[in-house]
Amino acid sequence: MPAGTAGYQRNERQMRVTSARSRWTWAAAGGAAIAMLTTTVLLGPSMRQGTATSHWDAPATTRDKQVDATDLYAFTSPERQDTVTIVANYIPFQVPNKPYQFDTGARYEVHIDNTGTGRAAVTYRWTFTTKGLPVPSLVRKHQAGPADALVEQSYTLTRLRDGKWETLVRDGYVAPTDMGALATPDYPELRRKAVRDLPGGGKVFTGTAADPFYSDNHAVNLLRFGLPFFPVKTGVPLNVSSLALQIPKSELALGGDPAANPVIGVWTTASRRSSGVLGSGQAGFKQVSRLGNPNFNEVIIPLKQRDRFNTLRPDGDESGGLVVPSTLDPDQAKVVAKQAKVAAPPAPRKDLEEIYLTGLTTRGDGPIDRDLNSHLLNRDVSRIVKAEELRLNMSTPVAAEPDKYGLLKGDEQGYPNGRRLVDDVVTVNLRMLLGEPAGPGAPGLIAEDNPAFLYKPISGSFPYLALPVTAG
Amino acid sequence: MITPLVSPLVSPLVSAALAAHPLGNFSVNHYDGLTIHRDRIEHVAIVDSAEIPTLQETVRGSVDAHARRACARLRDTVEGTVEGRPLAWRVTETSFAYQAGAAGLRTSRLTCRLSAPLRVDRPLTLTFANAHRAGTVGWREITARGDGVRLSASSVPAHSVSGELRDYPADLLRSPLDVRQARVTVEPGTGDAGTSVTVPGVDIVTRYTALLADRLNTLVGADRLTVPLGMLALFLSLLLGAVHAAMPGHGKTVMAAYLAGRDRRLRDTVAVAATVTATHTAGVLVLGVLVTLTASFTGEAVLSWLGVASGLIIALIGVGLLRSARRRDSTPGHGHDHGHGHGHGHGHGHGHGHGHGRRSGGVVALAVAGGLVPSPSALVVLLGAVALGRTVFGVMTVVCYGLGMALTLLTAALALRKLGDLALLGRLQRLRPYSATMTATLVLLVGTGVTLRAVAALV
Amino acid sequence: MSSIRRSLPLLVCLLLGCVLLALYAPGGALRRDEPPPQQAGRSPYDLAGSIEDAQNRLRGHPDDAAAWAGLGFLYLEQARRTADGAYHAKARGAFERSMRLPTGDGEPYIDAVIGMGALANAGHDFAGAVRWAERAREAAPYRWPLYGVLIDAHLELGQYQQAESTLRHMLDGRPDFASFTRAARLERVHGRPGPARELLHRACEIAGDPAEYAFCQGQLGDLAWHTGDPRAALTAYAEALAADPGHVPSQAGRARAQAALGHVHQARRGYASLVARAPSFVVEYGELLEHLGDRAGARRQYAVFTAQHKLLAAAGNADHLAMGTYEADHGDPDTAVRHLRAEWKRRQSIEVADALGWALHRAGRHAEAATYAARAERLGGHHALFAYHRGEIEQALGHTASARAHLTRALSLNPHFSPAGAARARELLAATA
Repeated sequence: MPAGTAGYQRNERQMRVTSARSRWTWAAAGGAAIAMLTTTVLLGPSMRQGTATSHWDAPATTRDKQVDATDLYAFTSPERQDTVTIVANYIPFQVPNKPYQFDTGARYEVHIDNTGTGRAAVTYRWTFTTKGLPVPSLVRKHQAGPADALVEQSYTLTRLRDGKWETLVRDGYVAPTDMGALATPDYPELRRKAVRDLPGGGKVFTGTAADPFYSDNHAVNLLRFGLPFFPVKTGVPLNVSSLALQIPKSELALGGDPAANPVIGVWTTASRRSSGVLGSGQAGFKQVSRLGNPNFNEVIIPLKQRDRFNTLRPDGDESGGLVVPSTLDPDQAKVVAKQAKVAAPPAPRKDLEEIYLTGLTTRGDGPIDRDLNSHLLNRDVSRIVKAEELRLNMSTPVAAEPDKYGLLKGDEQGYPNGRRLVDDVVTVNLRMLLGEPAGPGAPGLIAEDNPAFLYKPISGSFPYLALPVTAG
Repeated sequence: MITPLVSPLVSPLVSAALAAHPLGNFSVNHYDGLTIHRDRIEHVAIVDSAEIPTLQETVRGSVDAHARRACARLRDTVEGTVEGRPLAWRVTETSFAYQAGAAGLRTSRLTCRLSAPLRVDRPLTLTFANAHRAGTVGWREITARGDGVRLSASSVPAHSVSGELRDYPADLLRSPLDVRQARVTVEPGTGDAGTSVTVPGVDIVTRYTALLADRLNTLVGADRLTVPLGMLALFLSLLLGAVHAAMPGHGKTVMAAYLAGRDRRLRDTVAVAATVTATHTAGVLVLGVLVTLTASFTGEAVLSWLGVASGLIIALIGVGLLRSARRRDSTPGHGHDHGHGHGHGHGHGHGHGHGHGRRSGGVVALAVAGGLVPSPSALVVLLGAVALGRTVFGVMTVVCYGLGMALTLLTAALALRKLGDLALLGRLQRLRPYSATMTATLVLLVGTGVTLRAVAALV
Repeated sequence: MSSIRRSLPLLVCLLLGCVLLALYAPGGALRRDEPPPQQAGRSPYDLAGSIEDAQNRLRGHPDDAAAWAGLGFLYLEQARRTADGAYHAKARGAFERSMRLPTGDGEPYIDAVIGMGALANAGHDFAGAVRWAERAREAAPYRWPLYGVLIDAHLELGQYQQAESTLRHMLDGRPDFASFTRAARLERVHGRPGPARELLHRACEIAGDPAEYAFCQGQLGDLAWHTGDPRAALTAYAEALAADPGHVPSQAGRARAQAALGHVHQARRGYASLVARAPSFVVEYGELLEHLGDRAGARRQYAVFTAQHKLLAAAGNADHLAMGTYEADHGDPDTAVRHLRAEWKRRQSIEVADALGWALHRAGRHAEAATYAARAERLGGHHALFAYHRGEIEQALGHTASARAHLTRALSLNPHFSPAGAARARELLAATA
């Protein structure tokens, strides 16, 4: 160990210049050294570094990405607290610097239920058109397939409310991915161009952004596969295509009154135009993707029914015979509990029903005794149905210091009361699956101290999403 | 959501029968073995053609003439450069032979020996690419080794995993090799460096360690564990252990410094080696058993607790050393001024004067502390071996790992002692009286640091 | 003074220790929230990389049924792309491994069951594929990929009704690449190129990766070819090969179209490089060579075909359709009839009907041949080769008028349907005019 010899030499040199006057210098040096030691100890990463792994899901096995809803966020905008921000992310696993397009044969929708009936009171719908090839052929030369081709797309945003369709944006600009100075010069400007004002005070952003999803791989593996795994916590250096809205709360609340009726339920769907065959059959739009609460489909719904869940609407959840029984007795809870050697609460899981299907309230029969985000809290709602939606109480004050474990750590503004970009939903879902917050659960399963983090930090204003990840 | 890919087209029927070739009856398999000598580079190219390509290839005239023609063609498709300049290949030997294949058909094997002049008088970067029949499916493998020269870096291994296309590994979890290029840095000298690939953003030690660990995992997980393969795995774990101990942390290096700072006998050294190995092996085994038996067991927390324990032990030893050093300092005749005249010899004498038994205990305790925190990679290998039903082999690997660690520590201690002795001959002699205090402080300090870090990881 | 002196080494050591710790502590230079160095995300298109990821995961978790099934599909895809049957054995191993592992509901992992079906299709065991797919349907009627397996098997077995109803169900539940491409195929066998083209265009728009894109562009090329437009076909094949240069069917299609357009040298070069890596096209290549007068070259290609099928037969995997078709044209028609009757017992698709009819005709049994030729066109008949075969058979039966009608139809559908066949059809028409 050469440092030892260096120590001797250095020691000797310093000794020669020592005098009585330098006593204070030495004391100061010692103090500084102690401070340094402490800082290093406290701030350095933990002693043992896990083995880095790639993302848990082999990307090539994920197909039909264009209509694959990956994440949905809904939260009170921190700097414009009279508005709500909703982000629906599609087309996962986008490699940096590669362009991806929305499906022009599909409708991308964000639904808001403010009555607790499982039916959308307001629906925002995006449809896309491909606009040709605006970039130099030099760049296009290496295109491979339309999902890869650098083509510009535009979108139309319409809103369905009270049975009427209204066009909010025509020929909107879809932000492409950042492909470097040649193809997408001055990228921040393109991002600004893609943020548009909506009539009535809202904003919309459509386009590529860094995927804000992050997770604790230990939690992911337990939750999704029921497997133990060496813990690694990472963000994912990939991009995603976002549909982001910032809407005045009054536009979403029942009766336009967010003070009296603050609770909304949010979900996103993608529907694709089908086709007849041999001259007969319908060519209508079929819903192929549905997302409300994160992980709900892959954790609560059994594998064999997941594609079916994608075709269902929330208003059919209560009577459909799939969503309610799966929530009351999720197979995955047993798998995870067994793997983690903890006890999951016995079925029927009324707590999960309250979290995912009705929202938290003291006015129902759910075991979580807390008024938070059930439609029953709306003044003008007396009866609700069980429906899987991401429920947000728009009147919950914005937390000064958001806790990524949300409600489980007493931060009422966090998931499952809506979902912020910083919430570690995988861990929260895992812990809720094991019984929190109705019971003691297994809070220590995922170490809270170890940092899980966003790959790129979110920004302070709409659409909050970081600029796309670039290669190199 | 994982959606299976189902090919929408029914493809033409292809033979699913596994013949001698890993890639079916129409594969053309290539092996390029490069040997770099001081004055030349030799290239053995083997082209192993399955039944269909053998049939497709018409042999006109004698087999030898065909071999010469085929090798000439191959030479034209092989590209080698040294420092960017192309190598001039010359065919030195050719052979072509048929072998019996499936269904009464034949397979063929073409062997070409090529050579190109080269002078390895300084570090050189060589590249090699074989584009022979690039469009065909087949196993493609390149190896590179040095003879009388040293490969300081190589993108390809030194040995063929297919026995030069005679025994293709058939493993569900292994894809056929498809290596078409190689990059080698060669320098005068002897000995080989391990394989390497470029993983950006990782410092060199970590990169090599990760590679070694990966290789070790692969070896332990191999479908057939032959004796040489097993030996290789054990050797690798020895190496990994050595590297692990060389990496700072866990207070291991302190032990080396401690050993170096004093006059130590062989018995102490051996005791240290044995203790480190035993403690580390036991630690890994216990943790492995715990992790296997109880899935809820959070290995990380236990590692942190072990870290705390190890840190505390080191710190305690530090305190003990400090106390004894202070006592000595206050003893008349052993103070600072006195140190000048006696110097080296005195230090030795003094060291022996104090109870030897207690310090041996200290060494053992230090060694326990050093081996206490199991290294994650050893744990991973052990778990992997257990999962494959190779528990005994896994344990052997872990033992080797511990031995490797002990080796590094001993080497470091010896080196430090030599250096220390040299330095002390000079003006550093005036520091001699302080060395005990310094060592003690260092031990205490690192012990505290290790403890604090472990605690920080726990909180 | 002495106390200061005594504490000096202490301080020095302290400082030194701090420096050491800061520099050498594991990752001490890293900030807490900095991501650990990791590889950039794997391209989702990287099949070899995906296989590697799956293999790595399985080395650590050998009892992950989902990962084994996923790996099986990746191997199957690899087999399809490289036309290399060795991967079928690997895929089978992976699926079987997955099915042996326990799952939550006590049944085999559903994707492994579907995978076994896809594998059965790849091995031309279509009845087996139906069995696997039905088993999957029973367990998980909403797992859409199983319908793809089922539709393919029905189409190959000649069960067009079942294929159609299954397809309707699939389109209703999940309109996606898999259902659009299969719908296009169904439209095509019913002789409706227009809707088929539209469906393929939609499929191309939502192709998930270059291989899928190459696939549907290749299908568009085939469609253009079969409707007598080699130029459009060439464009589509070029598009497919730009996305996936190794796409074998498009390479074959390109060579075929080049030959039709008179670019014989390009076509020969294309075929020559193609048969080196995918010998399924040797007969086609041989026929072109024969047509161009290179009999020796053609014989070499035919020898490769024979060898290939010897190997298949030795492995207990004989492809009676391919062998029968080959024997009828270039070998012994009686052997051809034997092969094709065996195949007809297994499946009654229009392709087998046509081949059997043609073989019977070559063997001199024209009357029986005519019934199979008619069956080959039972779905509407928009295949030039089928029409030509039918014309020849009618001619042999002495029905000149109907022979002329079929031959004319063949040439109008695709004047380039086969180098020798098209020439022969023109001759016949001229002779009977």
